[in-house]
Amino acid sequence: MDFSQQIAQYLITGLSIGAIYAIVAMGFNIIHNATGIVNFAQCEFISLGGMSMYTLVVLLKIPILISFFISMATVSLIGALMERGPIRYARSKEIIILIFLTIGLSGTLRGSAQQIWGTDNVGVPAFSGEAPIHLPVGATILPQHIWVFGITFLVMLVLRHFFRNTILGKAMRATAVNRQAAALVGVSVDHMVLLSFALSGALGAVAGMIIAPIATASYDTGIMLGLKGFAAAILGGYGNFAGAILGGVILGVLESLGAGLLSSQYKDATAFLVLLFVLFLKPTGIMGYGESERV
Amino acid sequence: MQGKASVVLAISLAVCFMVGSPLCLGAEPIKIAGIFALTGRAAHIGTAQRDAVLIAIDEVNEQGGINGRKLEMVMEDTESSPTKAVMALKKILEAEDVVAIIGPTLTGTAMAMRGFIEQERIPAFMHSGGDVILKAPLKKDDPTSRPKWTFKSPYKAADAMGKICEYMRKQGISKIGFLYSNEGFGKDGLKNVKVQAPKYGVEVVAEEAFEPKDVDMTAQLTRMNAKGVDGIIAWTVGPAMGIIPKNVKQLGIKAPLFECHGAGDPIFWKVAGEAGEGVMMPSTKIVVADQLPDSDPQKKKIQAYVKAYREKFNREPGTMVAYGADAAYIVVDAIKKVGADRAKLRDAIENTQGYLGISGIYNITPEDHNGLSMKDIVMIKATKGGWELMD
Repeated sequence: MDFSQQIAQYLITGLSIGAIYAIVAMGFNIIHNATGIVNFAQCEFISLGGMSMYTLVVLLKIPILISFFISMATVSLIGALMERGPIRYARSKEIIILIFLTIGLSGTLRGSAQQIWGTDNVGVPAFSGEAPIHLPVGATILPQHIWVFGITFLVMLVLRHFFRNTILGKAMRATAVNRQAAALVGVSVDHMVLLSFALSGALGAVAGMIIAPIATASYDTGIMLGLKGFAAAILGGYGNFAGAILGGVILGVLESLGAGLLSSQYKDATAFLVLLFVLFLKPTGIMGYGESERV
Repeated sequence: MQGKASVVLAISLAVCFMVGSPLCLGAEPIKIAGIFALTGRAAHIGTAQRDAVLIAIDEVNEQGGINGRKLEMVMEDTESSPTKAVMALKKILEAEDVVAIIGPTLTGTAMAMRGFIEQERIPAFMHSGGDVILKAPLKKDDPTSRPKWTFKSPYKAADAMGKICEYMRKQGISKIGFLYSNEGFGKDGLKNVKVQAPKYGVEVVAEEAFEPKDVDMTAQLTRMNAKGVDGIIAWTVGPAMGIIPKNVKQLGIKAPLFECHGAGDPIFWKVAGEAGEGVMMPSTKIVVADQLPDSDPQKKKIQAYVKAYREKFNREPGTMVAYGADAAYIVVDAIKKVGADRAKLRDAIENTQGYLGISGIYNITPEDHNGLSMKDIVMIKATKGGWELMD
């Protein structure tokens, strides 16, 4: 294996890890775009997606495609219930209070998942086999990685279109900017927030499901991915979907190149150092517009 | 009227004596602390070890306890985190009168607990794979200070590494890559491989690390493969045990993959799936009990224990169950011999000689707080969802 092939493999690896971070980052963005809060239970949506996929595909032997949509609907419902219950009836609507509330909910969900599934990591079969694909540049990739790329990109396009060009999407963004003003112009604020939680639940589940065949699933797989995805969202510009992809891919590629060329012991440190540096130069993230957009 | 009352009294007294109820006799149960990784990344090991210990404790209690006193395990969860482990330890020591500690599961948690255990002067039989818990100096300024109260039941990681290297030499493997998780256990493995490999004429040409929760190790493996390794050792427990074989298959690496002595567990197949086929590892004999030659002195004992484990928990024991069982049995035996006194217990454990356990034959000495040797380890190969005895 010559050097250029190695570099190709590092880039491909980085892209495939980056795509995973990106889809997680987009889940964070949805709720932010509708409510302005950071939803820490996003990590649990990922774990739940993976574990429900395991339950349906491995334990109940339901075909992958059907399981995919059942899991999506289930986790989306959990997201909606979260909003319908604690988030809506919280006595304070202060953003910081709501954020803490999501941390509490995250713990509750994780604890329940642990009671249901136990603590073991489990494997989930890949969507279309595990035979590696050899790319002409000399790198190899799994069919599952192609699924991750494809689904992440598709989700990005759909969400971007949704938030930019549809009335519903614009109404959601309006809600985040100013609840009262949005309500005054006829936006049903409650519905928007509910929708955002359901959507991010569905997206979290998708993230969990597409990576489970690569990374295995457990009641707490979402935590590490959630952290990296959150970092990717910040790096790309919090709330921006193209930024999420960019942030995820940069983080993934930096990690992989860091491990391959510098030192695998300090690969996370390398990646986060760059994150710090970027935020130092541009605090709103690479593609973030900053507060001015929200006025 | 009076006659009736005395009959009732007589019956209740008789019942008390028959069941040896501690309430009636005023005999407090003997309490042992069980500190395991019940949640977090090592939860599959911690829960299996807890079950293994419970079998031993139930067995003693079914036989009437020790001198009429029941054994009771007070349990705490380390959540696989060193900080939480220390908190759990302090909680138990303050709230309960325990005579010994069994656990914890992970090397990192064990290292964090070790100092407090020595301070508190309570014997602890740990399940941690890493040898540092016995070898690392207790005090920074005194390099010869070794723990007095700490023991460990898994064979020394150095011996497990030696076993792999010895097997590699037999297979003609000479240039290897070492892939380890970037925490206590993995780093301990790195130290060991640097000592053991040269002894068997094996050269470590690549060392790569990954974070325990990473989802992909292809970058590290690519770099390793480029250095032309003809064998790879992956030193980790947890989901990475399954991710690494998948990555090796993806990259088309032909060099055989060896994993650590914690991999021989049903969880390996859950996380690795088909990619696990052919991965080799050192293990206790418990997972290949039926394949052992009849001349093996442990065979009958292991088979009986496996049977009890299957009946009680309705699942297959993994390699680490053996460590939990032996730690529990040795501590229980020591309590039987010298009673519930921490200092006496420590001395009794330190004098365990020729103990025929599940993991091997223990000869514990003041210099060796583990007591197993390389002879107790077997090499196994993951084959068709099970294990094949290799060497």
